[in-house]
Amino acid sequence: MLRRAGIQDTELNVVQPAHIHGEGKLMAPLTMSRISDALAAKGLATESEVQHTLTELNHAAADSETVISLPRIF
Amino acid sequence: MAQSDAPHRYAIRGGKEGKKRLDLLARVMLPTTMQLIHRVGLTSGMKCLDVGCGGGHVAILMARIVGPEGRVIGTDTDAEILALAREDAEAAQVTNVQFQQQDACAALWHEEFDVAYARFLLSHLNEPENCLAAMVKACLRGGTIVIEDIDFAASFCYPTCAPYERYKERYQELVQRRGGDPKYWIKIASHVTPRRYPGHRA
Repeated sequence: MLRRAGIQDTELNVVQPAHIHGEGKLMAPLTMSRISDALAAKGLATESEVQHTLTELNHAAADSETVISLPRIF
Repeated sequence: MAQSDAPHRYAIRGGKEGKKRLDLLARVMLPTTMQLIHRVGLTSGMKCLDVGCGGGHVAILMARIVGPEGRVIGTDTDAEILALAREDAEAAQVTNVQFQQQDACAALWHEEFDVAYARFLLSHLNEPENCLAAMVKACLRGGTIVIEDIDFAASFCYPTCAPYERYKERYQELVQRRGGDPKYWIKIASHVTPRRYPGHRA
């Protein structure tokens, strides 16, 4: 696809930030919160399911024994 | 496509609430963003395009690096988040960055930029090839296309946490239902053959 688009010299790098403390652990609950409307609109989750998941994600983020990553980034 | 007809492509809520999330993401990503900019070789005087710039964090960062002799244009379909990005640029006294409401696939520019950049955008689109083509068209010959995207399935929580796995599944289902592909970039990467040619680089 890249070559078809006219890109002829490619490099690839992969990173995956992961956090045991700090605000990086909040990305998951924050993202869940920001997709809640869209999940409901598509019938993928009820409001109570979203709230339960959010509560648990925040607990995991606050747990100093838990490591939470961002997605793998290319 | 007229700006007002641009579809809302992003599965994640925009506006003020979206901007707060992107502020956090920008802070968390800053070390790797700086590494990437260093690898790209961004220098004073360059012209850069940030497609789907969201809160404008990377656009402003690039504008600081290219300096007054260079310029950066950030585009997004979310007018509210662009207004917040302009406020951030003004507060930071960065004057060589402009934010424009444009669809990512609109091919408005022809060989104008040294660098065209898109972060976490293509996986949300149902026609990422069109966006990529617009980025290539916007770049000068020999310019650089920089794409950052995600393999969401590779996200992890340790110890394993059922709600976290549910969050991962729901996010991916949502992006797919909206026409995107949460594993888009890894699919592209698997088709890249490491050969070198003159011309654009990515």
